[in-house]
Amino acid sequence: MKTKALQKTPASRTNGIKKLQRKDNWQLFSLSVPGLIVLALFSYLPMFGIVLAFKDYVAYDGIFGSRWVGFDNFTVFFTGNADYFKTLLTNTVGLNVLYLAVNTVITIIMGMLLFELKNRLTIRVYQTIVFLPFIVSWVGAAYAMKANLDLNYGIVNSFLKDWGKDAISWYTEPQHWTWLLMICYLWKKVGHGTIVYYGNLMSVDTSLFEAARLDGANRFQIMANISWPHIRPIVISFTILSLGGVFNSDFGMFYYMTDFNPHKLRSRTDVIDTYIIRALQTDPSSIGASTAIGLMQSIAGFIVLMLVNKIASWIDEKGTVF
Amino acid sequence: MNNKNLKIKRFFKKIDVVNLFIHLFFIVISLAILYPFISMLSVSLLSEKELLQEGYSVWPKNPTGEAYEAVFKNFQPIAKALLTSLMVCVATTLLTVMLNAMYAYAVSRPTFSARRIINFVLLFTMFFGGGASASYIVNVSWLNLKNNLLILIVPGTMGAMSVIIIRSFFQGLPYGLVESAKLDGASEYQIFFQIMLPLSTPALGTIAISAFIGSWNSYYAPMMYFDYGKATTLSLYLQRLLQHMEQYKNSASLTGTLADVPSASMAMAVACITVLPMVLVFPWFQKYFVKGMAIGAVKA
Repeated sequence: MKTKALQKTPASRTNGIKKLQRKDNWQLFSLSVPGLIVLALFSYLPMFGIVLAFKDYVAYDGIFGSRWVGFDNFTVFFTGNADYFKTLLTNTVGLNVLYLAVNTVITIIMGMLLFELKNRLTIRVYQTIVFLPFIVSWVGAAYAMKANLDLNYGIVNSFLKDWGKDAISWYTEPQHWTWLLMICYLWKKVGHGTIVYYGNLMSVDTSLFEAARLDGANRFQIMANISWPHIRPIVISFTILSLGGVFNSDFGMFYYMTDFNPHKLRSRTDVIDTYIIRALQTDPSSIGASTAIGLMQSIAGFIVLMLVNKIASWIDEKGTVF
Repeated sequence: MNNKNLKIKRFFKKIDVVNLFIHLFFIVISLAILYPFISMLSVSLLSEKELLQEGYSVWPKNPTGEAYEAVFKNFQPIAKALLTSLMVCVATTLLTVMLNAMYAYAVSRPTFSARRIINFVLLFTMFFGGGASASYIVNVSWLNLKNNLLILIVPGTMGAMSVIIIRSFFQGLPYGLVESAKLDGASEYQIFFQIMLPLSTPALGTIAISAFIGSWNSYYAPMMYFDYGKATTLSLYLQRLLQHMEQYKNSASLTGTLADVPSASMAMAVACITVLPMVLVFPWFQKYFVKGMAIGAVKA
């Protein structure tokens, strides 16, 4: 029996291997099935929901039963509400670009300075502290904001009063919020970039630094000519990825830190995401419109991502994402 | 003169002024970053009287645990929220690790013939999605998940970044492991569960920690999908408390008593109870987190 099996023709032997391979394939596929189901339900199914952008959604009729309205949802928003649309767009893109730029500069500096230090313990302590806000939710941070900025009881206002100045009604005066939110943004994000750049610098071949030092280069020359070129590609790819999200904002920050984005602050703090979610919560009739804006948001973001990636490829081959 | 200069130079070389300035820079930044935590903690330690008379302060004159006492006296709603939060967090973490690891293993095997398409299905979601409103309507009207805890657990579990991190870890393991197991007749399931999973605890730890933190902090899904009076997570409880803080404070100053009204310092105490455990525990897990981020950054 056994010898017979060994004497099988080559064709049937490859059949056997194929069978085995098919079994492996099935097993591997079945491992990915639960993940595929989650993706199908929560990532791909909502893509069908995009048809809502072209419909007048009525909950009773459901997604497919609602009336088609073509591009009405888009035109109504862009023409009927042009002024507000402009505010939303300038807030979203303007604040994102501003915060991103400041954050990038600061994190590069911090990463490079941290790399200059030699004491392992202090480095660890700084790393931990700088990174802490990353694990705190905006809701928690909003309490700290409130403790400081509250009109009557706030810490900042009592300082102002002690110095003989007038208290500021922070939550009703929009002009302060551009920089207040910048502080929030930096507080939360600075640690992430710093640690990534620092970690990246750790992978530089140390003999490069030694050689430079032997040749008489000073600290700043080393930073400018070895450290910076080393992290440049990763800085560029980080920036590309972030710019891809330039039409999306951190909803939590704009919503909770401003104390639920009250009406009075919106000229400076309302962004596309807060607008969409407010529409979802308060005005069911605007669901078509908010889907339309969301769709524009993703498409515009994708186009920007592609464009920036192309530009980056001219600057530095290594920095591109695709 | 020249000699003196040299002495000064030598002295400065010893203590390294530049380093000193860098330390100073980081100390200032660290204090600035810690300040919000400190201010929260100090306000939660204020006595009701001091709060009403002098407002919040970073340096309470007579710090008391009054607010915490009050919170624990009326602990039931918070305990319930805490329990829900823990349950959701643990379930999310386990599911995230399992789903992503299984997916990553399938995608990491070069012999898997559907590998490219399965990979694409995942990566595509990184760049395109239905958007907030489409997701909301689909989840509510098709999947019927309003007020259902599953909406807090399942949707965020699959992540392209997590799969990439685990996959690159799998691919970094010696390939001979898989091959020799195959020769011994092990099935793909056996290889995955008995060889790959136990070997990849560092990568899985990274994913688990970020999943846990993400779930603990998540504010969006609880806010959108849960009505008043239904299940509450700690994060949702905190949001609603923040929303009503103004009212509480006003009523407290009107009546001048604590009564059973949660005061501002009580709200701060609840916030501290939510935030501080994470802050205190985190430094021990930071290593994993940083490692994962480094991989993520390179692969992105």
